[in-house]
Amino acid sequence: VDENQSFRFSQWEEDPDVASAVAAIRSLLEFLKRDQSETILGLRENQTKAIQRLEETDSSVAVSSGGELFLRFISLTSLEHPDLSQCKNVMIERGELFLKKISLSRGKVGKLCHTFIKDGAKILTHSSSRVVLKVLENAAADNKRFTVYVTESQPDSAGKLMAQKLHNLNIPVTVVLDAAVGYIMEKVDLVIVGAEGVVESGGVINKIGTYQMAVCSKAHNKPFYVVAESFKFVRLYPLNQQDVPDRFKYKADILKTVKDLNQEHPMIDYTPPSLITLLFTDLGVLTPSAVSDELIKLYL
Amino acid sequence: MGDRLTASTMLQNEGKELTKEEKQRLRKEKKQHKKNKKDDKGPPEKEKEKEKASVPAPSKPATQSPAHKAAPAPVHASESAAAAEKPAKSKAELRAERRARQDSERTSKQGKKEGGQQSASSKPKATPNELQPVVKRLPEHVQVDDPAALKKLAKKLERQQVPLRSDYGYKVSLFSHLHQYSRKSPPTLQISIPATVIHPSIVRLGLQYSQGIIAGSNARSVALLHTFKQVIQDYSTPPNEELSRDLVNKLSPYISFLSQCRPLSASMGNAIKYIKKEISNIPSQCKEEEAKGKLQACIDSYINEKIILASEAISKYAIEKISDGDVILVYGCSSLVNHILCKAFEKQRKFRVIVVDSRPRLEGREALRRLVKKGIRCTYVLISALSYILPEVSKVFLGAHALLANGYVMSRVGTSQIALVAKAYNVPVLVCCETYKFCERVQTDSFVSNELDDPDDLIVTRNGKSHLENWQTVKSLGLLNLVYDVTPPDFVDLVITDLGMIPCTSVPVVLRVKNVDQ
Repeated sequence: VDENQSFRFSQWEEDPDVASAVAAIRSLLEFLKRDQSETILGLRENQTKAIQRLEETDSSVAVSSGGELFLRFISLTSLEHPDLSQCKNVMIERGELFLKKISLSRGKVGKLCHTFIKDGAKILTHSSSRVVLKVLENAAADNKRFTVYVTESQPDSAGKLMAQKLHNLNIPVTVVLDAAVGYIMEKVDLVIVGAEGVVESGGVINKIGTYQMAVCSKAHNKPFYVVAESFKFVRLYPLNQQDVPDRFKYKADILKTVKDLNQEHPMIDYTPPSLITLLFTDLGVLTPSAVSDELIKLYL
Repeated sequence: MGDRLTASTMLQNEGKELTKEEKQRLRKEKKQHKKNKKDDKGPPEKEKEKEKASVPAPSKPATQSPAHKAAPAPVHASESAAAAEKPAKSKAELRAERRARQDSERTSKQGKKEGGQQSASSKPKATPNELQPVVKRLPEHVQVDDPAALKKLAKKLERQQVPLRSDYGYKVSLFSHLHQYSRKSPPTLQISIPATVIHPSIVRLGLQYSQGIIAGSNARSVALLHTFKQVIQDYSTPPNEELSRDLVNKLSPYISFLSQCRPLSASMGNAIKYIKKEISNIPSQCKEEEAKGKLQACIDSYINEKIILASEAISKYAIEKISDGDVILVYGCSSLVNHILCKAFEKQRKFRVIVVDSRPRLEGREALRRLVKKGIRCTYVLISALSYILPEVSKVFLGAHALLANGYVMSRVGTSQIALVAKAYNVPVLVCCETYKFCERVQTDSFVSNELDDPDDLIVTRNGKSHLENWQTVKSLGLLNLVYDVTPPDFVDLVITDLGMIPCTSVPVVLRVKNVDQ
């Protein structure tokens, strides 16, 4: 069952519109439906094993956080029913509800954020983020005129993909080098980036290059906005770049094959909360210090 | 009523000297009416009207008010206002008008109350009354330069038969609102042995506090709780008294005595609050032995949960943050931080420790002793060498005396200095604190509420020389021995509590969650 499930997961992931966490949760739900264990503890164990298996396929923070949140969400009611099949049905129901809720979250974020883009604004963004795309889409639909600068975002040139998508939306876009962030910062009005994970301190984990963009924008006093769905909230608390666990920094296949990780390039970096102005989530517009409050509400 | 009216008009006609008496009576009436108004919480619009009316005809209300003493308070103003404008009418007509006005005002008042609308002018009058019970008074221990507060304290201690400890030496003017005691004159000198009012183990505890034998937030709280257990053990309910009420009253003079020996810490305050709550929750039909046993079990579980198990949980989280090759800086002697480092060492983490110390307490030596005994590699510096060693440091672990509701950390003096310099060098600062030390107080500077230790501690230097021995004779010289300081939340990266790792700004969230639980 494991192999089938990870195969399905990679299939869903290939769909470009679906966030990796949503794909993970969908496959976890399928797995739950097919689960044959006799006890609730067994169910939870299988789910945890499944999440680990998924992390092996795609080692991003979002999969880990989405999986953990899914598990928490469905097991909130598991202790109330004496009958196992009833329990399982309740869990599946809640799982479907959770999935539906999070599929809508990107739209909610887009609606919240696009009002912060004024007419004539110049926006800088980093790499390719589907949430940022949604926000810019909404702003364009609102008949606002703005231009976008996207960083190339090596090593996978994801920025060029983003530029292509924006071009299809008829938004004027320019691709800049990663090294040109300091150069371009004086021209832009605001910076909007997505996030792979939002940590307990209110900081974000995102594609490498986000941290230096944040430092630059702080030096130029430009607002630095982060857009993220609430299922990306994760129970990590990094103190600095070194403190981010290795399993998130590198791609899954590299973790398995390479011996000396010091020779590899990390794929993500950590931006501390002092550099972030506001976070736009489907729970509302939050300051970095409010993220901890929301996390306590979600997890406790 | 009519007789009084004629009498007062006569008096008024007689001369100006008597209006003074009228004024006095008026003042008394006003006080009475104000009291009634507070009880009724009547609409203050009437007061406004009264003031408005009293302006155009100041003498008339003076004559009318004694006559209207019997009338209901809220209506009084309107009556005087109305009556003041028509002095020429006869008594009967006045009375009839009065009654009519009374009824109309009453109905309009009711209508307004039902409508629930209060005019904007009445709102500022209403809200201070509602807000007043919420405004807290300043605690006594930060009002030492106020003679009225001192008098109140002296009276209270006299009532409780607790000796009053007098301040010692010249106090620096910025801190003249705090107590400053000398270690050479503990309050135990002033009470007889055996003490009649104060339990002997409390006397012993007070002596240990004032001499500095028991120091450190956790140690003081645990000692306090153990002593309270002893007190409860020896307690016997007097006849016709309930244990739940009498025991709390018995504890008050003990607490006053202890705070005379050394001001209470935030953790001790929370522990005392908990005990008092537990005592008052004892049902009245509970037998004495059973109640005592229950209380002792409560105290044991408090110590176990909030202090011992909490430190285990905090160590678990903190060990995740210690990686191999770390250089950890600690300041002073915090029982919690020492525990964390010992546990991490047991878990085979490779790290070394730099212990920073400061005069006059030199508590770092105790921490150094404990860590070296475990086998941890340590370096020892004084706080003046801080910026020299900080480039080597990878993390700073600090203990806390209390965490305030606005996220500020109150800890041993010198902590905020370490946090500041660490921030300048971009070294992460981690504060470790159990949740029972969280307090509702808010403070943004170290002056408002602090503790002044014995200034004579500063006299002796390393060589044994004491140039400052006669500091009291020099009028312009003051010695300041502060105990605590507050660190702003911007300098602290992470707070590790038994509930998990939280940013410094989330302390009010934890307080809120705790209050909901209780």
